[in-house]
Amino acid sequence: MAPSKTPSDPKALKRKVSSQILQLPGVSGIGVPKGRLTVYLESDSEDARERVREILKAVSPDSDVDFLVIGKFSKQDPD
Amino acid sequence: MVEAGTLGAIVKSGGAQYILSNNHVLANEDKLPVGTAIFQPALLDKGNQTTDQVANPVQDRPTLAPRKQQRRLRDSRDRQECHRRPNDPAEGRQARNNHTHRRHRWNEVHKVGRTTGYTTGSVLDISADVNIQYDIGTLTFQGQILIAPDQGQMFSDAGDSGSLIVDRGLGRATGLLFGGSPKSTIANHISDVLTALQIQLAG
Repeated sequence: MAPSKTPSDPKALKRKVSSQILQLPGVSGIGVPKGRLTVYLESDSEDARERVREILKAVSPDSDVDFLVIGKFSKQDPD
Repeated sequence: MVEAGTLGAIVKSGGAQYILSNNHVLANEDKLPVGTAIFQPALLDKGNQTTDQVANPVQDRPTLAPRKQQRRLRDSRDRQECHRRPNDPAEGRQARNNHTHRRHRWNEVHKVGRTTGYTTGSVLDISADVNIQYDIGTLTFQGQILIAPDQGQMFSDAGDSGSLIVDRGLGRATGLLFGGSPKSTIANHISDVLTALQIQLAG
């Protein structure tokens, strides 16, 4: 059974899945650099990639996603 | 409380001038009360309590307080802190536009920060939704600027929060640095900051 709506536009897809994906462990962020849906990861985790793919598959089965290991974001404050 | 960061810009509103940085730099994530002295250099950087006070937090500053039950924000505009700047015009010397004759790509930026000084980088993303770790928890920001360093250097590090990020080609302010990882930097769009606080860059 196909989902009723499958956003093909990466920006629309990002808006739809952003909150879900940002809840996943190991995910730092999500964006659309150069028109490509991209998930930013804290580390090179296959588990995190698979969880992201599962969410995208449920929303837009034909969607494609890039991953970029970029680290964990924090305020830039000297402690 | 001893904190340190970067004074990104002098801004103006209604005839008054203010210093612009981040909430966690100037208000320690909402912990510092109105009236707390702000020093430049910061006390962490051997500032002098007697001679180096430059500002006090303003009453109507934006906060980091969670809007809903969970500790997450969905609006970049709550990240900035604007403090009255009563004296010392020397404090505005941050992120001067270093015009050169070389042609720059649209995404090339630079900044001056308290820790890493002058650095250059490239904008990777202008609409990133990101999780940022604070002392009060993980906060989420939407539509942020993501910057990668030029090869062989860091674009920013701890203590650079508050830096003004400037487009190298146009010489215009584009962002206000507030977070990052060892591999990248996160900034608010400066237009969001100015609009939310109803301020203008001075000078």
